[in-house]
Amino acid sequence: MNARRRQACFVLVGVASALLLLPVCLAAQTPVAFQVRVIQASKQPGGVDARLSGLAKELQELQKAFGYTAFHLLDAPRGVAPLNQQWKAAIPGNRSLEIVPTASQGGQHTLQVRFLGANGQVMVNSQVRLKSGATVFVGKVPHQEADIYIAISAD
Amino acid sequence: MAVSGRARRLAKYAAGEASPAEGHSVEALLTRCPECRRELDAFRATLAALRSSDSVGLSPAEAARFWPEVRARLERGATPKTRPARPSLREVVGDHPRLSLVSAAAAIVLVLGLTLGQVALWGPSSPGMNGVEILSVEAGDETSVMLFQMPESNLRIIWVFEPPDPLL
Repeated sequence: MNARRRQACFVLVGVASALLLLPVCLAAQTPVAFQVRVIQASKQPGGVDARLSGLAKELQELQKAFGYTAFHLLDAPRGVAPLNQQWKAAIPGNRSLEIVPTASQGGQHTLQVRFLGANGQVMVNSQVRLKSGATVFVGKVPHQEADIYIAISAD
Repeated sequence: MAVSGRARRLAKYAAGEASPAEGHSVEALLTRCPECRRELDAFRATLAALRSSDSVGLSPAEAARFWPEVRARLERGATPKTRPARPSLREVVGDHPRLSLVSAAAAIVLVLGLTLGQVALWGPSSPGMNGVEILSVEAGDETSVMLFQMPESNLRIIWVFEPPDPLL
């Protein structure tokens, strides 16, 4: 067997080993990006905030279910967190939101979502799995004669 | 190949190295043996060809180390290396190139299959139709929680019921 063919064999074995380890390395290092949109929904005139166009379908369903007539975007923090690292955002009414990505693979992200009250007490502790681009809502939290919805989307 | 005494004598004669007695003996032979004359002509032609070609010489240094190196090679060759009972990986790869290539290709296919399989396990069927799967929900001590999903809708809400504010 000539040396070139032998070299090709070793290269192939090396590539196979690298491919074996690649998903593990990438999964361990890739941070998870997500967007949180804090939405105030009310039954007063106002229409839909233009910045919420990406959630038009979901807001239409909320409108149908609860009779809201106005949706206003209060805040839209973006977060990027490595696995098992906490990301935190303030929510109106002295509440806060904590998100910890616990797994990320193949465009699917598992997030631990904790919604905390004014005194720091845990109101909701949930684990959700989101495909990239998908959105889960946490709500309907009363706030100034309106309801607050928190839309959490994985990027 | 055995060389006959006649051939040896003829070669010696052709080279001019025969003694006078040997020379007379060869000349007597040549007078009565036509084949011997042809053989002598062949020896002379060969010698002439050898003498006309370029000579190859060794420098004193090369000559000094020539025989020691030959001897060393002979000694190395005299003690053959013992082959291990199990061939090394390099030998296996070297002796079976096709098998090695097929094995490497199979390993790559296996790794890709496992990788893609993991992705497929997380495919569209598992997180629900809208890409959302709520794995667990726990309510705090003072709150209630309900998962809300409208009929014929993909919208999912983790619905939080806060306790009424005692100041209100």
